[in-house]
Amino acid sequence: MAERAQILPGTLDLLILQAVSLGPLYGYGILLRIEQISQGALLIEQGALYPALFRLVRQGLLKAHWDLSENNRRTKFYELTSAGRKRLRQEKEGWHRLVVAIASALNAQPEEI
Amino acid sequence: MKTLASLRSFASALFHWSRVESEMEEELRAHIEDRTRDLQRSGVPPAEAERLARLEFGGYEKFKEECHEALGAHFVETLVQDVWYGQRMLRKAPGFTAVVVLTLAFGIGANATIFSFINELLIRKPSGVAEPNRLISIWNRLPDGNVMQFSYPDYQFYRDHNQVFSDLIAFSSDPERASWTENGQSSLIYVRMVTANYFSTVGVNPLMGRAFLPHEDANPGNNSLVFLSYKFWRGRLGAAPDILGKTLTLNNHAFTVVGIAPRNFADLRPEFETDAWAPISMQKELSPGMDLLRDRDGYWIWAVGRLKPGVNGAQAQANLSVVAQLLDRKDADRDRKGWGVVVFPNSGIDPGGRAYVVTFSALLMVLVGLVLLIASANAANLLLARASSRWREMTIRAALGAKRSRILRMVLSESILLSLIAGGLGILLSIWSGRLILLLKPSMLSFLKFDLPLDWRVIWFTVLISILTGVIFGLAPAMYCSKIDVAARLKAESIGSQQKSRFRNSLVVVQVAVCLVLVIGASLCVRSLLNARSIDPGFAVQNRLVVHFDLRILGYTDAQDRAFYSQLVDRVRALPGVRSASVTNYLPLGFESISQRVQIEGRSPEATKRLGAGAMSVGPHYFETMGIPLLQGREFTEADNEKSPSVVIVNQEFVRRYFPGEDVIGKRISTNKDAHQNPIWSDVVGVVRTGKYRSLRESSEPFLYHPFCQGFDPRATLVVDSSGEPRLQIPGVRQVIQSLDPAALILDAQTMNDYMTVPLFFARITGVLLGVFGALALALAMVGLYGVIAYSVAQRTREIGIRVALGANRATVLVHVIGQGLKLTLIGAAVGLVAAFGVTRLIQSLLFGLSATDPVTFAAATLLLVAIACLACFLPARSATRVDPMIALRYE
Repeated sequence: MAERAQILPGTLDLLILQAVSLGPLYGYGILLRIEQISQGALLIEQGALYPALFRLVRQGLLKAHWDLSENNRRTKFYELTSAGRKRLRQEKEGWHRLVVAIASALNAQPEEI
Repeated sequence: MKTLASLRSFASALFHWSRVESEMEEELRAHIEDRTRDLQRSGVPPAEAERLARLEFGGYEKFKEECHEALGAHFVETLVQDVWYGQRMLRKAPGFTAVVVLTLAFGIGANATIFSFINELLIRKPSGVAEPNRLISIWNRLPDGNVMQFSYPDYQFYRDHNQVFSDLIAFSSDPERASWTENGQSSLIYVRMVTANYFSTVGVNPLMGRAFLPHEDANPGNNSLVFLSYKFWRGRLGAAPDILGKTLTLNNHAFTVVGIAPRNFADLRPEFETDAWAPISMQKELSPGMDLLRDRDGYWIWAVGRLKPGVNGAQAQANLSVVAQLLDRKDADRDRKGWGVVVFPNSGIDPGGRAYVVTFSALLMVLVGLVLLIASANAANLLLARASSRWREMTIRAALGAKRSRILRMVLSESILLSLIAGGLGILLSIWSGRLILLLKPSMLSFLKFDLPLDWRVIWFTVLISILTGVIFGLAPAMYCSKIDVAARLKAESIGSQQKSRFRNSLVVVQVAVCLVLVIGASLCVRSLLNARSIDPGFAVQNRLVVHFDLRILGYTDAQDRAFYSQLVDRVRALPGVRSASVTNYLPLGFESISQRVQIEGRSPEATKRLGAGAMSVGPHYFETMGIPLLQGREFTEADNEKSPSVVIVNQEFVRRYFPGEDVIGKRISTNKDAHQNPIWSDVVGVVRTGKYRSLRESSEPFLYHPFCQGFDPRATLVVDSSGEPRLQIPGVRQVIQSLDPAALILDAQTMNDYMTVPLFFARITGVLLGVFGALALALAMVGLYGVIAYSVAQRTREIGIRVALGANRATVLVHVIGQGLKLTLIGAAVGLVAAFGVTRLIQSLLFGLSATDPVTFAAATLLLVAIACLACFLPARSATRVDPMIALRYE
């Protein structure tokens, strides 16, 4: 397995929102989705997922409901609210700006100064 | 939207916390199961798969905790959990719980008791009064800063000239004692005279009938009406439904009942018994012999105003000061130099008395605060002792990821739960002890009324100090429990016990110190009470009956009054079992005293300018009846009356001061007010032994006696010397009075022994309270000391075992353990002695024949404390000597 990166503090919320934006998911499913979309490159402490989910629900960015899963077990599903969708868009833009800025800073060559 | 969502999540968490809890559990568990299944699919063996899944998940409890926090309902929910958990732990240790709860209940109960008195006297507004905070009482301010009531004309002036009150009412300071005659029987009734606007201003709606109409107080002698209190109507008129329009005979005068007060209204001064209210225009009928309505210099009126809307106290003060100046200008002929006016929030107690009550209750509050401190220290000690046995539990919780703050709160909620249970018990104790304290009230103060209703203020106060106590005594153990280094703790059992025992020891030192202060204070008071009992008042106390009268209510002439008393005394003397009887215008050591200037015949007015003496008027055989030895000359006889030459009897101190070395019999003195211009000379006919007159504390004071008929007063006291139990004479005396005049009224009949509780009242109540608190403090501190020593013996079983194994004999062990407790006691006692030295002088004024730093009392109290401390240490020490070295060494 390729070397995994610890996720940056604060980015777990963003990853969850992104994962859920692709369709309603239950807790373990979100973890798998994140692993899948990050090609397994990110290391997440699994338990940390849940406090983050509860927090996002409380902030009104996610909503949760109990339903039967594909293997017929009562499962709690999370989906994005419109506020969550809006927040995800903002966070994505912010993140991209940050990445571009940091990347260009790190790529700076002596002659460019 | 966001707030709504968070509110919803909070609310659902709050109300369905058990459901939330189980759902959270379900969700997290599902995750681990899913993971295990996936791992198994990828080829991990089943047993290994689950372990791995759990490992990957991380700290299960910690994340669960964080989920709760994320929900926002964390606080309330964990509180419920903590309390639930707390009561489970307490039920598991019933002995510990009982000791802590009882300890605290006594401390909290003492505080609640004192507070319920303070609440009644200082805080509670009279009930049944509309907007009590808008009522302002106004007072004359004298040049020396003291306050005084108003005269009725002054009240009228303020009423007519102020701009700040929507209404200003006046009422007699104290309810008037009146005689209510019904079917030939008289009984005492308390009537307050009020202006006609009283009820409308106070905001009282009659239960039945009507209040007084405006102008019903305008003409003196008109409108003999009464408005009855609910209590009087129910209790003494049997709640007669047809009472309105009927008449009551008060002081031989018919008063028509116009209305009944609602149940919740007692009076603006609810501490005084008030049976009925009458228009102030009936003053002459209700207090005969005095004409106060026109008297500018008779100060007997309480004035209370209702502020106009928008006016505050400061504005009222400013406006009334202007009115005071107007009054000065109008009454320029009166001696009102330097007088002002001052406003206070309305209260049942006058401003001077209030200051005194505040001081006294502050002192008591400090006392009970100290008792509670000792109780808290005890509880803290017990909790600390238990904390060590719960170390492992706390450590495991910490290892599972519980945060420090969570453990802190868990332990704290347990201690608060304890103190709240104790608070509930304390309230019960305070109801009971409040009633006991009221029993100390002398019967002469029967016009004072105290109920200590359990109102919400007392309950809040108790809950508050309970929680505070819980936090205070729980904090140290909680801090100690939550300071956890998991790794170190799981290994060893008792790291930090050194530090802990130092803390517990210092708690005991503080307890002993505070306790010693209280015990010394209590011993001082008790000794002073014994001293006071043995002070000779100068008259006989045993076998005497005293009966108080006020003949003014009969509306007699002076001659009729005199005839009444002389017949009364004659007939009472003839009763079987009566050895002697006499009258006096007042009794020594009561609330009254009269002093007179003395002029001596043959000496210049200059030389006798400063001479004075206490004075009273006494009937024939007074000295015989009172058991006061006559040293020289003769007693007064029936022949010394208003027509015979003026005579006096003086006491020995009078002779010593004013006639040193002379024979005083036959000398002439004068005591009339204008004696320096036209003296009325009286022959000194006798000398009696000096006694106590104003207070038991006084040194010898000069005193003189006039014959009852020459210094007449319609208020008088009959003294009876009985050969047996004096109370048995009461029916006979009552019969004599009935036969003389059915309307005549006994104000109070009691034994001289009971009467003597009045001069000792404050000393007694302080003595009793301090005695009880001192004993309580001693008991609590000793329980604390016992606990600490017993615990340390239990902890040191092994060490003691080694000592015994190495050859220490039982006596050595005993001395060693007792010595350990004694060391703490002695340090505490030293601190306590220093503190007591500084504090006890506060009660100096209450002590009889004893210095506040009396060395004997200090030494005795300290010895007592040390002796009891030794006893408290002896029990655990004895169990230490029984340690079997073999068992002790095998332990662990």
